[in-house]
This record gives sequence, structure tokens and C-alpha cells, in this order.
Amino acid sequence: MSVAGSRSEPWLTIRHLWVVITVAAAFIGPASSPIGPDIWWALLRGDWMANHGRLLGFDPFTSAPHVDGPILNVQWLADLFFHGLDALGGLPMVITGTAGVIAATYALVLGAAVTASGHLRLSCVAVWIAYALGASNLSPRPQTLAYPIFALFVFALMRSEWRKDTRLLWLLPPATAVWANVHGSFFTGFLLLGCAAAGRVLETRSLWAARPYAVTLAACLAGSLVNPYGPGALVYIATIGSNQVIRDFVTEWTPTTITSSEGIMFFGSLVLLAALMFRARLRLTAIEMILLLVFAYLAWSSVRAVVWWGVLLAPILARIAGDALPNRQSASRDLPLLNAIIIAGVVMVAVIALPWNKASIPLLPPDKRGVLTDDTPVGVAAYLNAHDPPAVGRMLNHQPWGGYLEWATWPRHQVFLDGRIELHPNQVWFDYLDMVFPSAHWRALVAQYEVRYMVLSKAEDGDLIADLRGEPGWRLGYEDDLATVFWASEGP
Amino acid sequence: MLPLFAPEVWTGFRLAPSDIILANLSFAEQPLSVRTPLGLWPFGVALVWFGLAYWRRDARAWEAVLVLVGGAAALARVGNQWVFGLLMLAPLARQVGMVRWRPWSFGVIAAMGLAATATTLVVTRPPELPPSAIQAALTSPVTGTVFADWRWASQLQSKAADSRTVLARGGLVSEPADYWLDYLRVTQGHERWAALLRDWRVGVVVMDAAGQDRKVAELIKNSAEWRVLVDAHGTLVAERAPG
Repeated sequence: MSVAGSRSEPWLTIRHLWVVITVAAAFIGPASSPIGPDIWWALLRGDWMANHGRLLGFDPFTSAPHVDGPILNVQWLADLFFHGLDALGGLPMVITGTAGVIAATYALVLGAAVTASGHLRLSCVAVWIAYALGASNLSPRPQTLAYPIFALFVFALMRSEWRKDTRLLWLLPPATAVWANVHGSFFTGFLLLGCAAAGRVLETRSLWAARPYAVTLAACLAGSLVNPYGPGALVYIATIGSNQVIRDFVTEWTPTTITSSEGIMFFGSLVLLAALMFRARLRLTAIEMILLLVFAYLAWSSVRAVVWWGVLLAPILARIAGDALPNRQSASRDLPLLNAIIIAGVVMVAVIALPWNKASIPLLPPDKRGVLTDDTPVGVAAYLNAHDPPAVGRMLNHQPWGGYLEWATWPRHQVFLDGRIELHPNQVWFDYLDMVFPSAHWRALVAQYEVRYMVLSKAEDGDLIADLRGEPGWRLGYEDDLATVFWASEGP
Repeated sequence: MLPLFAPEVWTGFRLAPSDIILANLSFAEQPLSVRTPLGLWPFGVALVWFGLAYWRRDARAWEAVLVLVGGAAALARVGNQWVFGLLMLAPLARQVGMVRWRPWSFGVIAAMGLAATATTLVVTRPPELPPSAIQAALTSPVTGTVFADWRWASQLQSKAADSRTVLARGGLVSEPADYWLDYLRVTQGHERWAALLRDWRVGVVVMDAAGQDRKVAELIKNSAEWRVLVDAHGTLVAERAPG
């Protein structure tokens, strides 16, 4: 099936419908989802930088002891972007803006898939698979802003490989300069170009043939240095990847296994890929094979990398599916009016799914109508905002709530920890775990860290809550279905 | 295939899904991942089969079914790798048999397999329980059950015969999930560790003080409720103090 239109085509064809549905689906999913846990400090930092007119070089939001040395905020541009959305329309605008970024990402993936395969419908299906692979990782946060840039890399590579058009490669170095100030995942762009260069050398037995990719890679490396911290940002990011606490305790950094939905999707995609490879007559190129091996390993290594795997997989999957599956030409005639009505319907669904509107949809269950997830401690934040902290001492908080609580209560209250693992020494994290476990040393640790009030999750900190209910010197200040707040005796 | 059978030598051959609590005690109870000791080996075996089959464009349906079933079993739980190993034998043999190998290549592959097997056996071998620890645990005059590191429980029970009851003597499948949750609490040094041991009427503890049980071992050493009998070679044996 040819992708290029012809003069005799109706003004709205079934192909337009496929594109609209695919891109709209990529928008509707994130637009209708509640906000995730990893955005709050980005909003706070963005707000702080906008108010102070300079980069934030320390962490005023958490009270636990910090690592020695300067704190590099390599995501400062993403922080400002999200703050801008927040300033424009609050959390609903943050969600909507992110949904737009994700729709742009999968539009680029669709472009890459069509470029590689020439099959629009198969490309759309491949994009749906890519979307499903990344679906759990599309909430508003700095990493999400990196997805369209990675998709641009994939699109540029496909243009270069299958259309012999290297012009888009010129866009990649400036895109890397943006990427390096948005999120530390820019090394995946290097990986992509490195694989392409290696594959080209393997295919042609000539170093010279890899020149477009090697030159682009060198320019991208230089582009990544265009950030406020220069090469220091690269070192900083490397240390985050090797942080023991991050690797062992943060769910999305743990290896992908078949016990998670992401793992089922990932291993399922491998089986699908293998089946199509056997069925297709064409053989994968060396570049495709190297890319698949490297990014499959990356995705198997950590849950958060499955989304990159999906973006990379889509064009390759579409290409081999185009060869493996029978090419059924649609015999039906296009009905432009019907197509227009369907597209209008899709657009209407997208509008209804917006955070401003979905609260009024009676069909949605109550927990899906808001912009916050059910387990967001809204009641605790309201309670804390009505009470001053003690004159001395710290709050100990359920760590997954740290981001929301600091967004909702800072500067009146300062949480102990949030989701930024790298800001604190490993020992602080081990001590935190000992306190909430609670270990036999929890009282000593509470004294050591001068904890004077605790915000705890009923679901996850049950043992410590049970202890505190009978603990002399502590009293319950607040309780709801989710959480409790305990104060040391001298508290309010 | 030998490396796929190696870990089960120590824990026993069993086919089961991964268990979230037991996964904290034994890597064999975890789902297969890149961080599993030699976790890339089964992936490599599957990749070799796929590479040969794809290269020749020759794979039978039964091969694919065996690879899929075995792969799913291995991915679900590291301790199921032996099933994957068994099921992969025929498909891999067929693919390998169709390739003209140079004579030395078999030697290289065999050496790699043996090295991986030996490495797996060494890496996954449980710590040894010193005879002095067994002696101390079984001759203690204190009555009550014996709470031992789960890897030593069956060995201790076999030495004790009917003279003592060792908790979890039948291995990981011998006790309900609640027991293992509390077992984790004790070994991780939960605030209620001493109360849990009292609940179970434990008179003697045998802990891996250099490994999995080091947190509670430290607490036992500093507790007036317990008297240390052996503290050597990474093993701690203690009995409940009189009174």
C-alpha cells in the first residue's frame, strides 16, 4: 500500500482516519489519567527558579541530610516547562501539556514506522503496541519530555536508512542540547547513533560508510555539553545510574520481570517480533539487529527503559510485519463524510477526556474523575496546612507521598524525603527503612534525626502506626482512611 | 544446559510461580532477571536457538512451543530453569546438529558450559553450617523449638532426629506465608523480633551472622534474653537465658 496520496483521493480518506485515531489515542490516554508521583518537585523547582531568576543549586524541600557537594539540577528546563504549564492552567494544564507531548512522540514514531515500512495501517498497529509498552510510564515528569526527542532520533534514523535522506540528522545535535537540559536519558540517543554506526560498518565492511552517524554522534556529544554544568552533568547522571538504593529499591529501576504488566508486555513483544521475523522473507539489517539487542537488554535491565524499547521497536515491527502479513488492499470506497463524522467523534472524545471535563462524565468511576490518584494524601496536606510544625525537629513522612506533601505544604512544612533518591546518602535511606519497618532501632533513629512528627501510610506503615498508638510521648493528631499524623508530645 | 540445573542442586527441583515473600529469602524464588546470578545464560541459550533457526529459516512448530513453554517457566521463577533446560534440549540439539561445526568449537562450548556450571554452583551454594554450631544447638539444655536459618533447618532436623523440633525443617514450602513474613521480620531485626521468637517458643537460634541474618544476630548478641553459645565462622548459636 502506498502512503503517498494522489490527486484523485477524497479529501478525507480512511488513511486520515487511521492517523487521527492513532495520534488521538496517544493523547486521550495520558490526558484522562491522574497525575503521577514524580512531578511535584519539578513544579516546585520550576516555581522557585521562576521566582528567583536563577538555577536552584540546593534542595530546600527535604530535611533529611543531603549528600556532600553541589546538587546539580540537570532537569532545570523541564522544571521550567512544567512550571509554565502550571502557571497557565494549573494541574489540568500540566496533564494536558504532557498528553500533547506524548501525542507528538507517537506521531513521530508513526512517521518513522511509515518511513520504514510504507504501510500506514500496520504502522498504526505498531504504534499502538509501542504505546502499550510505554503506557505505565507516560505520566507528567521530566523523562516524558525526552520521549519526543528520542522519537525524533528514531525518525531521523529511519529516514536516513530507508529514504536515504540524512537531512534530519542535522536536527539531532541541537535536539540533544535541549535533551541534556531536560532529562538525563539523552545517553539513549548516543546509544542509538552508536548502534547505527556499528551496524553500518558491519554491513558495508567500511568505516567510511558509518560517517553520517559517527559525525552526528560526535556533534550530539558536543551538544550534550551545552548545559549549565558542562561535563559535570554527564558525570552526575552516571552516578545516578549506579546508585545502589535507586537500583535496588525504586520499582521502575528494578529489572523487568514477567511478574509485572510491563514485563508481560515486553516479553510478549519479543515473542511477536520473533514470530514475525520467522514469517517475513526479508532479513533484518545489521543496524536493526544491533538496535534490537541493545535496547532489549536495556528494557530487560530496568522497567523504566521499556518505553524506549517500544519507540524503537515500532518501525522495525511495522517493516517486517509489512513483509510477513498479506497485503490486503481495502476494496471499500472511501466515504469522506462518514470519515469526517468519525474524526469529529474522536476529537470530541479527546476534548471530553481533558482533565477539566472528565469530572462531569457520569460513566467514569469516581476515582478516575479527578486529577489526583486515590492514594494522594489530600486530607493530610490540608491538615498540615492548618498546623505549624514544631519549633525544632523534622517530619518523618511516608516517602512516596513526599513529592505531593512538599508541593502542597512547603515552605510551611518540609518533608523528610521525596522521590529524589540521589539527593541523600544511602545510609539515610537505610535508616528511613529501619524507622518505618520498624526495626528494633527505630526509637534511636527517630531521636538521631530529631523526628517530631510523622505522616504515615496506613497501608504500608501499619506496624509503626501500631507502635505509635501505644508509645508514650507520641499522640495521634490526624487520621483518615489513608493516613495518620502523629506528634511528639511537645507538638501542636 | 548444565548451568540451568545447577542452582536446584542446593534447593531441590520444584516447579512453581515466584513468591513475593520467599523471593526475599532465596534468589531461586525470584522471577528471572538480568540480575539473577548467571541470568543471562538462559537468555543466551534461547538466543542461540533463535539465531540458528532464523539463520537457516528452519524451525519446527514443536520447537517453538517447547521454547515458549520453557521460557515462560524460567521467566516466572529462577528455580524453574531446570524445566527450561529440559525443554530446550531437543530444539537446541536439532538446531546445533544442522550446523557444520569445526572440531575445536565443541571443546570451547563444552568448556564454557562447564565453567558456567561451576560458577553457578559456587555462587549459589548456601553457607556451610559448622559442626561446632550443630553440636551446640543440639546439646543445649534449654527446651523449646530451634529457629535456624532456613537453609540449615532441614540439616539440623536430620541431626536432631526426634530430640528437637526445628522450625521450617521441610524447607520453603513447609510453612505458610504468614510464617515466612514473620521469619523475615525476625531476620531483618524487626522491633518485635524477640516477641515473635517467644510466640514460637524458641529455645535455641542458629543464625547466619555474616549473611542474611546479620541484623537479628547483632540484636541477639546484645540481648539479655539470649546467651551466645557459638559466635564463629559467620555462625551464631544462642540459647534462651534462664529466667
